[in-house]
Amino acid sequence: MGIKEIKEISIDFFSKTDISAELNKIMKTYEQIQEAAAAVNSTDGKQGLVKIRIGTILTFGIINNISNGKWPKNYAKDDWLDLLNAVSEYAVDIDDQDYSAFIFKMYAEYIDASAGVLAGRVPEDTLDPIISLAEELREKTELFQNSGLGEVDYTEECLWICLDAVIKLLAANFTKYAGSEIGNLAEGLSSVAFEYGRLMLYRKEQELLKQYIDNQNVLDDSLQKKYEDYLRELDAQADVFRGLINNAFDPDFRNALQGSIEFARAAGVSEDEILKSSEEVDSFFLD
Amino acid sequence: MAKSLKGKSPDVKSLIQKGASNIDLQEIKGKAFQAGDALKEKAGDIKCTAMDTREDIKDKLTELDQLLEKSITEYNDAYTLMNDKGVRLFVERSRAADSIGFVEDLVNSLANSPKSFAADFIEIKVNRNEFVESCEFAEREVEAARMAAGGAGAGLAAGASVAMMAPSAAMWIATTFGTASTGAAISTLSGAAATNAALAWLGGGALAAGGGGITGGTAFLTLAGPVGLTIAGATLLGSIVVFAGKRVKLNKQKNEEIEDVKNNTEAIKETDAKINEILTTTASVRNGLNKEYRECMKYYCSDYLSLSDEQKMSLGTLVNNTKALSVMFTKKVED
Repeated sequence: MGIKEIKEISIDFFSKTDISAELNKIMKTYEQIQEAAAAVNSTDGKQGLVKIRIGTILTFGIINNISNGKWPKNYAKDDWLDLLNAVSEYAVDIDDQDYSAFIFKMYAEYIDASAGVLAGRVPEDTLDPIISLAEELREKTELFQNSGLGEVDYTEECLWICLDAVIKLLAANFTKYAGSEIGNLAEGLSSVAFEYGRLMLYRKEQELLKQYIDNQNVLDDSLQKKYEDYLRELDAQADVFRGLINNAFDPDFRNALQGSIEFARAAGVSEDEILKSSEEVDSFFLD
Repeated sequence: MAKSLKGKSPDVKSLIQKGASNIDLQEIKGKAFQAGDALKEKAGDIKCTAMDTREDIKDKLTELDQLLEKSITEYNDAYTLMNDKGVRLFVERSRAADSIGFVEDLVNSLANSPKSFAADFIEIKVNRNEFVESCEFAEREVEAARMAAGGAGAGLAAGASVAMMAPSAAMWIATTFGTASTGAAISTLSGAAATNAALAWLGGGALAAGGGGITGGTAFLTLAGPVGLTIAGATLLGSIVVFAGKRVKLNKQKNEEIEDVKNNTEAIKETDAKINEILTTTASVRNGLNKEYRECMKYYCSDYLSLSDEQKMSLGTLVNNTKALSVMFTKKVED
């Protein structure tokens, strides 16, 4: 029996259990969140970003109120005003750069809060690197706000730090339930997977950039050759034309007339307009 | 089949028990810990390589930016040179038009009927192209970074809402897979004990969350457990992948822009060479024509029939060359 068959039988068995219905519900909700997050993340333009910011701050505000025991159905006018003020303060009035800094400060808070939940349940040396990552986020933010770090680098570095922290937190959760030895193994495995994933992403970008730069050198050579070929062809044509011009202005009047006929023809004068003989010259002046 | 297995189950059970008693769990745990340490060390090595790769990417990006700037400078230089030559050709053609006018006067002073040599021409114009400079690409990259940060924030908020608003889903996972702090599976507990253990496993939940401002970490307690962490991790991974994708797209556009600029520069250089060739031949013909005109000026207002054959042929040559110069005015750069 192959892996494919085992997988099919497992899915078939699983789909007939109660677990499947619940899991499907969760997966569907989760997929919807992922789709929504991907959609806002892929949106281009400032307008899209403002919408994302408003939605985010509004959600944070509502979650914060719920944390304080106040659900939206119980909101008074002042609660809504507070929410609007928060949206205005954090999502609309705040500068683009400051908003990014605000988000990563929130992540630092989130990482700390998550580590706090695990405190006392997992070994300290498991949590220390996680807390250090939250601290690193704050340091990066400070550096960024003091113009010591560019916005693109800041965002990229912070995203990786946050992901690193989340993976370490997941491994720490594993430690909580499976013991420090297995937790350490899980952390090692996830760290390798994380770093390998990052390396592969960088390698892909590096390879593309190398390809672009190499292609530019190939293009330079090809364009240089094209230009040289054009100059050679143009020069050959001009040589013929220069010869015709020289003949057209030959000091000998007989040669000059014959030369002027050929020159006029090459220049594009219509055949009936060219004076090709003494009779045609006479006719031109006397008619 | 099931019957036969059932019949053999006591044997199987004893075999498992016997096998299990031979397993040194401590040794396995010790090996797992060592493997974890080795993997962490390996991860550290990979990180170093990744950081070196990132530095190389930065160098290559700088090189690509410099290539773009250099190509735009070269295009602008080539355009300026070509434009100057276009102006010189215009001046040359204006002078040539004057020469044609003088010949026309001379011919009309000799001919029985008025003759005209068309001497109209237009200035050669080539539109200057505008290209996207590296600073504009940098702005687009900043925009992409802001979208990534915004998306990561939105994911954090969305994840927190799901962990809070859909407790049944989160609770289901907690009760199915979770273990209480006592080590017992949450699924074996019941009532309030199960709920509390599940909330603790999830990392707090709405009920456990306290106060705090909008930047307060307590609001994130709903997202602090494995479910929330998975959502946050997936969101961050999504943001990184989308951001990296946008960077790749921008670099591709930058590369295409450089190619476009270089192709345009080559085309401009060809146009420049062609204008130069027209300019040289026009000047050469005008100079020859002026010389011929000066030599024929002595026949001005003469009786054509009184001229010698040589003089008549010289006038015929002058007419042919003037017509040729006139037609050269219609010569376009792309001809």
